[in-house]
Amino acid sequence: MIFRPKIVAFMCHWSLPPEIDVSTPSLIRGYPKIRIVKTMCAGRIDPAIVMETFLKGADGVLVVGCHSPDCHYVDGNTQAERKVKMLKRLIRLTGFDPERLRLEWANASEIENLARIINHFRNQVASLGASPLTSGESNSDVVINIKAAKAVAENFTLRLLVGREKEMTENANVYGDKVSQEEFDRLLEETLEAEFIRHKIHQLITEKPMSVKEIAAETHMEPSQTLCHIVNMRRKNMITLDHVKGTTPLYKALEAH
Amino acid sequence: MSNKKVGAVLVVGGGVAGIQASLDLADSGFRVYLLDQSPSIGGVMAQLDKTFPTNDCSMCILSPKLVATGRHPNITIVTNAEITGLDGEAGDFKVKIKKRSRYVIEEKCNGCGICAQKCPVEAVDRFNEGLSNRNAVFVEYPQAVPLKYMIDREKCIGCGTCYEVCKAGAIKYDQKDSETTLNVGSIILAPGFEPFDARLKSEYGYGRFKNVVTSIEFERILSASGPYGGLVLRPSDGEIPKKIAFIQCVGSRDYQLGNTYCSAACCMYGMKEAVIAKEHTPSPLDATIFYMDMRAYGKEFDAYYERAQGEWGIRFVRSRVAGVTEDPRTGNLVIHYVENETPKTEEFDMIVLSIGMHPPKNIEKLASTLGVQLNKYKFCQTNTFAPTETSKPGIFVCGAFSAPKDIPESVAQASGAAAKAMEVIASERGTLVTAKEYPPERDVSKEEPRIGVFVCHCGINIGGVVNVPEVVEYAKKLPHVVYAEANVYTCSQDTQKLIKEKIQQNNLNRVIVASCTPRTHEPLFRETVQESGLNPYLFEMTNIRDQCSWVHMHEPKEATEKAKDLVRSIVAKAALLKPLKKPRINVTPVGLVIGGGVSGMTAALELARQGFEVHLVEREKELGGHLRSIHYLLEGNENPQERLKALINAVNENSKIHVYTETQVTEVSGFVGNFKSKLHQNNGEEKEIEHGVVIVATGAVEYKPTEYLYGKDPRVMTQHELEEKIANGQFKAKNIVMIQCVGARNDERPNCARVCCGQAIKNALKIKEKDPDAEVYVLYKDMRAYGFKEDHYREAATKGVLFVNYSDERKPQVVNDNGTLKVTFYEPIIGKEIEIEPDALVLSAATIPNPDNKRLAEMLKVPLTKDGFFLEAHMKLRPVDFATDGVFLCGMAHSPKYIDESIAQACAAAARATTILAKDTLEMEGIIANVSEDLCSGCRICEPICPYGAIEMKDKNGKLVAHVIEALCKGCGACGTACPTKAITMGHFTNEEILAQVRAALVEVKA
Amino acid sequence: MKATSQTLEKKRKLPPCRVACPAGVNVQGYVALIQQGKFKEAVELIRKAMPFPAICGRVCFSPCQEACSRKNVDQPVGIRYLKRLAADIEREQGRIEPKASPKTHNEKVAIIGAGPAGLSCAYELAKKGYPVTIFERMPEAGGMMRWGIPDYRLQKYVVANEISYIQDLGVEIKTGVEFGKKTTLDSLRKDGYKAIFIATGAQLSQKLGVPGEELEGVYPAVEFLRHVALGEIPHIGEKVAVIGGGNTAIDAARTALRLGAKQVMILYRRAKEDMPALPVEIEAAEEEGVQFNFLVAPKQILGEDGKVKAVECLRMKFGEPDESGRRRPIPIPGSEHTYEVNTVIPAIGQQIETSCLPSTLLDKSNRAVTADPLTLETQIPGVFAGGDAVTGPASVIEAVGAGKRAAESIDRYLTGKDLRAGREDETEESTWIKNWEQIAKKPERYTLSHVDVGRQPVSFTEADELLVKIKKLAMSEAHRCLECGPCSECLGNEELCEADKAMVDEASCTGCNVCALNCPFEAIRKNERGIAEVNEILCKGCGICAASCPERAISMKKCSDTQLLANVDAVLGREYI
Repeated sequence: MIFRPKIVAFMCHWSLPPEIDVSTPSLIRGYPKIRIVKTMCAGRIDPAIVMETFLKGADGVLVVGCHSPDCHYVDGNTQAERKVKMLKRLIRLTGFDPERLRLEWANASEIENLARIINHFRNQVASLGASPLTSGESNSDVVINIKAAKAVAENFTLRLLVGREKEMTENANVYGDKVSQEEFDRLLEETLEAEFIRHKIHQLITEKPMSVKEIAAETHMEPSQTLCHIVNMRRKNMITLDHVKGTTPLYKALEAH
Repeated sequence: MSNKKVGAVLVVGGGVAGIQASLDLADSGFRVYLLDQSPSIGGVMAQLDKTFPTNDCSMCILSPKLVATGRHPNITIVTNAEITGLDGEAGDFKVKIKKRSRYVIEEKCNGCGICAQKCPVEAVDRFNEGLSNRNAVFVEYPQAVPLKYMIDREKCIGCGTCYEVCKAGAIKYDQKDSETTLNVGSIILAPGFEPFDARLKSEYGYGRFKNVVTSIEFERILSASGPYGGLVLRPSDGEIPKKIAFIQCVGSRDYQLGNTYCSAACCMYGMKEAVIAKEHTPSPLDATIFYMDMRAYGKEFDAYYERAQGEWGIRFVRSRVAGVTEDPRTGNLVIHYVENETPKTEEFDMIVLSIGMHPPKNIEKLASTLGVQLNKYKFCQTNTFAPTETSKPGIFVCGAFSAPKDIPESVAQASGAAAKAMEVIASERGTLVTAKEYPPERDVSKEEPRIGVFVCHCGINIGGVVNVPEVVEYAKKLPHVVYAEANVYTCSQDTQKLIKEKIQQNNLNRVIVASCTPRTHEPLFRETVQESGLNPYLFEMTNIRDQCSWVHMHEPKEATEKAKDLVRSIVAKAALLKPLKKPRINVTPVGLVIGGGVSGMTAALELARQGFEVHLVEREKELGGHLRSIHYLLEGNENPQERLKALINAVNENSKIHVYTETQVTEVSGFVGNFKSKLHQNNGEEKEIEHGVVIVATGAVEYKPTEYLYGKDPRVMTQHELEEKIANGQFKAKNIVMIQCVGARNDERPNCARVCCGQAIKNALKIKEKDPDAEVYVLYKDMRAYGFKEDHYREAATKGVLFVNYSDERKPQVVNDNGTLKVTFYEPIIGKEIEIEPDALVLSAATIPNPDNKRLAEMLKVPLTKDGFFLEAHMKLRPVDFATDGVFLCGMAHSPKYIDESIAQACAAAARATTILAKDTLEMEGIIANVSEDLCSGCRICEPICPYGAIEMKDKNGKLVAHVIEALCKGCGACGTACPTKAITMGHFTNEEILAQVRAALVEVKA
Repeated sequence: MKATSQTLEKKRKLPPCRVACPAGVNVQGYVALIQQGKFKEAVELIRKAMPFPAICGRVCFSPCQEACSRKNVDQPVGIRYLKRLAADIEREQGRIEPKASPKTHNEKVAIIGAGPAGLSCAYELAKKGYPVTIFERMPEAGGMMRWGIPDYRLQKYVVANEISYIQDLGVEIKTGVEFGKKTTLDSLRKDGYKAIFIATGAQLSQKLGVPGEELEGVYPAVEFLRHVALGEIPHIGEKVAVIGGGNTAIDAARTALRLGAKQVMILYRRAKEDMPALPVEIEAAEEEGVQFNFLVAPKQILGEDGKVKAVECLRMKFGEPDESGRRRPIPIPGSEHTYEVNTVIPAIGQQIETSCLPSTLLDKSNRAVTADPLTLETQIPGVFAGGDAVTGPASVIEAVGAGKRAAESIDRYLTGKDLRAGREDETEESTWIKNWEQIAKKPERYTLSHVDVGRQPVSFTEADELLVKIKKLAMSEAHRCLECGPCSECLGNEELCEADKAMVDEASCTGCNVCALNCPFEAIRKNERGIAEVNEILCKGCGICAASCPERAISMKKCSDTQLLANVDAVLGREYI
């Protein structure tokens, strides 16, 4: 049987050709069908929702917005671009293939173009096979990683940075200095890595308390580095000391409030 | 020299020494600028977990001083600042200050912390020694004073989030560095020290091996507020270590590194850290200290050492560690050392390096700007008889910058420096300080209670968890509450104005603030209600931050309910509040100094120079005390006898000092500010004097040994006797043995006599100087040549003085074998018994308490230590105070000490005394005990219960009744609880008030 | 640092096109509908504001287009053509029949004059449910639209069609009724009319005031055009001079050409750029061969045998600017010269025919009706006046505006409401473009294959294809709209767009300002408490703020996260082949 990937396309209202009826899964003749969720703007796509969509079992997520200067909402498309860029970096950390997420541009008059985009993406996802999240294992590494990534996508710090990226890199920061894109990306990468690993630790110790060494083994990190994260996670009230077993302290996750 | 003098002092450095100096100066009527280069004061002490020898929590004892400094009306804290220039001279300096921008408007920041919570950038937390992260906008630690956030410009990416979330509008990104010039009369330098960079001691692996940490890192590890929450963990893997080694003298006593001096505090803190580590570790911890000499020379330190070895089971290994290697698989560490000539290795889980003290960074620049000379180690140059004076008149020094030292020494020296700084500008006392005026108090006795409740959001600190509007609505419905509102920050300046307005508009006569802790904020709100004409005791506070939003962070509903409970309960109490008066007592601006030694004379002279009259009482015929028997010094070339003569002259010539020799104090009565004493002179004359303070400077005496044939053989003498002989040129011996710790560090007197090691070195050097061929053996337990004395120790060793260690198990034996004096001792290095026939045996006899102490202590109602020295109010932070107000101590009455230490302490006692004498009246706390004389049965139960001696029995119309001495009562309530007839009530905490509060707290909350 | 924590104004910001339109037509809205090919809906939207989409699509001087933000980028959007096309498509393909409003009021309203003002007033009142009767002197309704604008510009059937729309709403139009004779204010009152709107217009040409005006061959422009419209073709000579620079002058000149004149010249006392006529009209006239003589003013009309022979003119030069801001033309003495012509058509303005009106309604000079500029009340209670009769000659769209205003006043008057309340500050702020740089890139957007409309179709199929092409061209033109206003209320996508608004959960908002930074429309700002607040008028419902909010404190009313995820669930659960 041929693998038919489940692809969810988040499409901006304005890039959606009027010929396409979202409510019924008909589509362009000669092209595969696709599952479309319509929003007013690609900028509406919340990174957390993309991650959630993967968790729900999508093999691929396509975000379609308007061509660069076309956005009905001035720059919703570039907002989407920044978010997808961040998400791809984030997904790269999880071992999940970032190619399962794609951002494309189209406009309402380009139904053929859209069809081509969809087809191309579909083929690509098909070649990647079914999402590892659909295997049914609820505690596999990749599930935990994607859950952690979702938590990162919901996390204040990351969202804040992405939300201020434009202002800082295109305009100026509060000191009147323009932050170079490289510098910003470096900061974003660092923050992503730190937040991802912390949320991964959080995921790991949600069910049962674990020691620094155990966590280190699970996260393939140096125990010393793990301890640094544990220290900072305690500082941020993400986790707490559960109990000490012999000479080994065990930590457990606190629920976010 | 210009005649202009300025009644202000600049204190440089906001560590514990700078803080103490500032408080003493400000309490004595001078304006103080306390300058620190970091964003908050507190220094290294704020980083410590516990302090020796009392094992007090460092922050717990420091923080009241921080708070007092922060809100003292006469102290201006200038943070992030450095000195860039100096003009003028003693009495009238102009100091150029450069203040680095905080990017936060200090007046607006109320420390709520939301900026840091939302800041997306993390940076290494230097306060936690890099073991955790903080944000790019930060305070150094939660109790920081001033509690003003700061942006780390290096780390800040300029995203603007803090500006946006700061509801107080305190963030200011374009704030510039500023320059100001301060006009002060004198300057105190207390810049502290820089911890040794352990990386330089590369053989110990710090920086390479994760489980090798420095002692300051370890303090943070131990601290409950530290990175590991107080659990001792190995940085390599987060496991609790089972075996820790402490390596002493890292960066101290190290000839290779050039840090030849001893850092003075490490032995004690190393021991303390070992002890606390054991306490903080749930599983048994094996702690070993590798040391060269255990220098537990301070008061009660040896007792601590004893307990560390015994009760706490710390292992001590006398050995200089050669190196450390790591097992990369386990992260465990192997220590390579030599014991008894045998190379050994031992594996540990973790190693703590007891790092030494270095002079502060960039100190040369500051010194050259100020024109102050440094010694060869770049610590401040001072001399024995002027321990707090720098080479530049008007500039004084205290704390570790003058020489490595521990906290009590620093604190004493700080007060001492304060005295000297005051002396320069004594004439300007009170000229630059401000007294607060309040409107007349409104009589509310006839009014029904009208309570106003102000509930604080504290940004989101409280409001993020507790539903503040709901609490406000709830408060509005409580009995007697006529007004309630929510504030973003109840403590802000604006809100103070608003509270006053609301008091007027609603005719409030009770005010409640539901916010954070009364510890820091109650005085502020009391002042606010007082400013609007209400008695300050008509204010109440309840803590819905610590008690609700912090502890129930994850249960917002419950936190809100609890906040309501707390508000309801405090409202019930507030309805019953009564105005209280703060009694004022007059102060007799006269001091009494008991003891005419170097300490007593110095203290008397200091007080006189501050402008106060002093009675100086000396039991002996002549002034001078112990100093009379000192003829030369270990450090410096000054002639002690000449200095003594000068000191006596100065005392005698000072018209404000009344000297009574051959006199004893026989009776002391009264209380702070109002003492009366009887003086009995040997000639039978009696005199009664009135005075406001007492300084005890009764000194100590040399132990007359009973061991080692002392007194039975003329060749056996004490160090003092030796010194006398050398000074007289009568000492001719060629072969000399000195035995240390005679009469000290034994079962009877467990503590170290401190000065004997120095004395032995001094005399040995003198002998060698006069006769280089003379053979000198010093038999010692630990050579306690702390601080710069280490150099002389080494010099003596270099000059051929033989230092031989002995242990209690193998004490030297001395016999008179048919007229031949024979000393036998075990030489541990060669591992053999050695017998020597010296022609002089010098005993380093202990310094023991003055036998008169007991009488005096009873008279003054102050305590003594087990050894019989006077016991100060607090070993760490109140070294020259007694728990009894108005009584101070200094010099050897406190414990054995060197001349410079005695002088510093004497000045300190004078400074502390000045904080009382400088005031016309003293305002007492209003919350005190009241006796209903009708109910009092005169049973006297309360009298001994009072820890402050504030209750005396008085005859009232033939009936004996208890009477509260207002000036002494601290309002603790012990007497009230004990009184069988309920005759004693406590102001502000009456039974009715407490019961109303309890009852209201227990009323079931409606669902 | 930008100060962000200021109180959010609840004032709506409208796009400049809409603000500029005297009738308040939702321009951005119908352009948005045209973008999507919704031509009929576009017309419906226009009709919400006024009843003449086709007429205005042809003859409006289009202040909307002048105000268009797009002119800051390149050229304004061709709003008028879009409107015309939409209206024509609607008409051709079957007009959307109006739903006659139920008569919810009994108070009868009389309107004097069936010009644009009167008709608009009637239109608005009828929609409100009033019984309205229009009294018109001429045999057919339309006023200047019918009688003043020549056919080639505005065909009669277009006018008739739009008037019939109004009639279909239930408005009664009585033609041939001359006001001031049998029908007077009193008679109308007697007949039960509770309110009267006087919109008699300015039907008389202004006199040149030079000798020779009485000569045969002098036709005042308004009368000239009216006669043409009535089919009473006046005799004109081969050479015609039209005096004046307005649209009427151009209309007269181009009409003269169509009537067979060999040479038509326009004499205008100022320069070309000062001409009030629409530039396209001027261009068209030039193309048709009308000659223009600028900076000349007639001194006298010379005659021979009582007939026009020539017009003598003076050359003018410019002086100081006058009150209109234009440079005042000053005659150059001795510059007399003559143009040989057979016909002179003065077109220098119109006057109000005051003879039919009671003098109490007139101003001191007796040349115009006095009415309150805001409410259009006259001195007589219940009598309102507007349009050219009050303002002097103006445009169709201004007359429509007046008619609408009158309708509002009359409604208030009849329902006993305050006539002024809330109307004074009706002037709405025009839009504020936040990101010009971004928006200025818009011209690069819509690339459409070239549409050749040069060749006339020869078959129905070709005509059909041509229409599709034209529609695409129009959609493409509409896409040039920068959408510089807030939500255009086009009501094109009710299921998501306009109905969706951002909502802030105050308890979660920490005031980080990311939403405000990212909102393209300044629709979200921090209030004085430092909490984000949505201005629902400005909010276009794009959801960028919700997707960006670091605290996730913003959600969308319709397109909430929950809804989105439910949609995800729905599509994931769907079977596909």
